[in-house]
Amino acid sequence: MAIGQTSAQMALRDPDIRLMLRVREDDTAAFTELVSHYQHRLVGIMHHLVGNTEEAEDLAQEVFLRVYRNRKKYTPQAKFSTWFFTIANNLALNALRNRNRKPAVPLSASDSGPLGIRPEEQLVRDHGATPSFGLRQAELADRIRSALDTLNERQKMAVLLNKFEDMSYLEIADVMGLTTKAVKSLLSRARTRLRDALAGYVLMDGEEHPAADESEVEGD
Amino acid sequence: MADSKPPADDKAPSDPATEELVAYLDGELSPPDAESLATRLGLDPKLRAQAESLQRTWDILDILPQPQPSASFASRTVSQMLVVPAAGGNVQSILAAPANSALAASPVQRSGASFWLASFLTIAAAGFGGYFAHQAYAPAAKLAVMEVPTEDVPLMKNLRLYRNVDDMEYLKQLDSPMLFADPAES
Repeated sequence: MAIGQTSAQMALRDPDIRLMLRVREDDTAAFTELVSHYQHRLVGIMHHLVGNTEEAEDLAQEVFLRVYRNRKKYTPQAKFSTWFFTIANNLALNALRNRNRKPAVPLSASDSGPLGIRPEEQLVRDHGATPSFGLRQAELADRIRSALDTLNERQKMAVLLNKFEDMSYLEIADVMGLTTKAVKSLLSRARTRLRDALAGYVLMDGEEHPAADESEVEGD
Repeated sequence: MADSKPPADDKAPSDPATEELVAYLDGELSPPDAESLATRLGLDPKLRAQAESLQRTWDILDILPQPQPSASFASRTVSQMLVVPAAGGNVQSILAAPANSALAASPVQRSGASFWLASFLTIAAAGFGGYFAHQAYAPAAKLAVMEVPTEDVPLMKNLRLYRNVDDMEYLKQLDSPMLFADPAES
């Protein structure tokens, strides 16, 4: 397939487009390179979204499957990563919606509702029990994951693309099929929510941590 | 492209001032707007504290470990793809195609389905082969039964009795009508 002038210009700027154009021409080595190049980023994002490795790898494999199956129709119109993560976004959000319709685990009754204790409630409980000053990185990572789980799927996807893929609002809008204004609003809500959920773990200059005060009181 | 219906949580009105602040921190404001907000930040400690807390929360996400794919992921993925033909259809359908099958039937599971399909076809072929072989050889077997000499039929019928007798002469004597006759009659 001949490469048009615009495609050629884009391919010059984006090495991944050049790689995908080789995949389009049935270059197996190029596809292997593409998988190798994107697997960590894709599995990472999927893992943050679905919360377990096996499911994340299944979804990531499905994304690569679609890329390969549709290689002949690929035409560079934007950065390759935008096209790639658009497929990933649609697959992931559909899978999550599908999962929400069919809960995989039996639900237990709880004061916090049918899904059990909410992540923000867990944060509040744990915060009271554990001084965050001495919190190890792994524990802090758990708190952050819990905070991320307080976001809805779209907020979480927007945060992941912005934070870990370093995507601009425009690119996120392309990937998620939204306007840049909607992305701006989505990210604003998400970041406010994260800040509230992690308030106990983010200290401001000159601000004393409540846990420090508690330990002083206990010491008296 | 993606679904156009935002979840209920996305519909809630957001604070325009916070939106501007977040966009400023993300470098998404136009130069004049960014300059204006920077001036306000210098003058308003409360706004500055809000910006700092948002930025620190954002920075703390760096602590999250990056999940790694398993060592065999790439090789498994590539080997799965090499048996996949290129598809037809339009690009929009590729991008927006539902992923309900993504979890229900992963590529690995699909290969399992292929295995079972192949097994079923093999068993079915063996069944048909056996049936036709039977049809081919069964008439000959029936013919063999029909070709048993008629004089052997009584022998076969009484084979069980004959097995208890060693001597054919003795058997013939037993068959004599006079053997158990009343002596007075004789």
